[in-house]
Amino acid sequence: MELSMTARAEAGHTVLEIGGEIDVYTAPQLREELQRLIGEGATDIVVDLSRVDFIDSSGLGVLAGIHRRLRSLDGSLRLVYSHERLLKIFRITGLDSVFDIYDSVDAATAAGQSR
Amino acid sequence: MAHIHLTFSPDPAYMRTVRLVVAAVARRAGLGADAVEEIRLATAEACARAVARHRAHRISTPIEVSMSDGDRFTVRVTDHGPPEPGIGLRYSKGAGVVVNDLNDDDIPDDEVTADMSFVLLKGLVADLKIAHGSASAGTEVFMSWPVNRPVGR
Repeated sequence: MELSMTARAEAGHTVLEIGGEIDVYTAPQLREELQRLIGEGATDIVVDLSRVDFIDSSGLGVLAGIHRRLRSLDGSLRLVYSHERLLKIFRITGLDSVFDIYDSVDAATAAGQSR
Repeated sequence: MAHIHLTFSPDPAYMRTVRLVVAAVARRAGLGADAVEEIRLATAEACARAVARHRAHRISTPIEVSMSDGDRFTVRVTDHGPPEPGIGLRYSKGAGVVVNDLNDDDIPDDEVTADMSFVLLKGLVADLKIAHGSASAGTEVFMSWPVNRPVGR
């Protein structure tokens, strides 16, 4: 298994749960899936990275591109993860100040509802 | 001192294999889990850059990854792409570049990703050198990490 993706609707959001490794090989699949969800009308998206073992700049690039796209649609992209491995990568790139990051899907959707 | 040399076709499908190999070699060299993780990600970034360069210039020759575990654990990633005029400027950009890029809608997503890759490399590797060979020799990304072996080993 390299990348698994499962989308569901939850509390007014589209939640995309991802497992596996996001790299230069699998990042295009992630981009396609997120673009498909936006094409179907999703504007408030929560990406759950809790089960992601690896992400490189191509994966971060996809998330950054989708963040821009949703910003232009007046939507939102929220990320869920809590493991140090990912926290460090987001800290180094400064993306921790760009994305809204939560430690659970519940916390992410609750934040969206109180917006 | 052990040497491991790996060559792979410039195809993103092999990036996972490269990560598995470099992580196994770093672990074998006695590096701790955090260092192994840094080495795995930094090598992946250097190799992804090499793959992108080969593909952009339709170069099918393999990319080379050399690892050795002397006083320091070293990884050298060599590509065969042509000289890259903007590399010095990109390399010199500070850590805040990604956030600035994202607030400027005129900067395309792939430029943001390229800047992100360098920021990650610089953030992960204290000893990082990018050397330019002759026109045909491509570029070499050299990285090294300290190896703290137990006394007497």
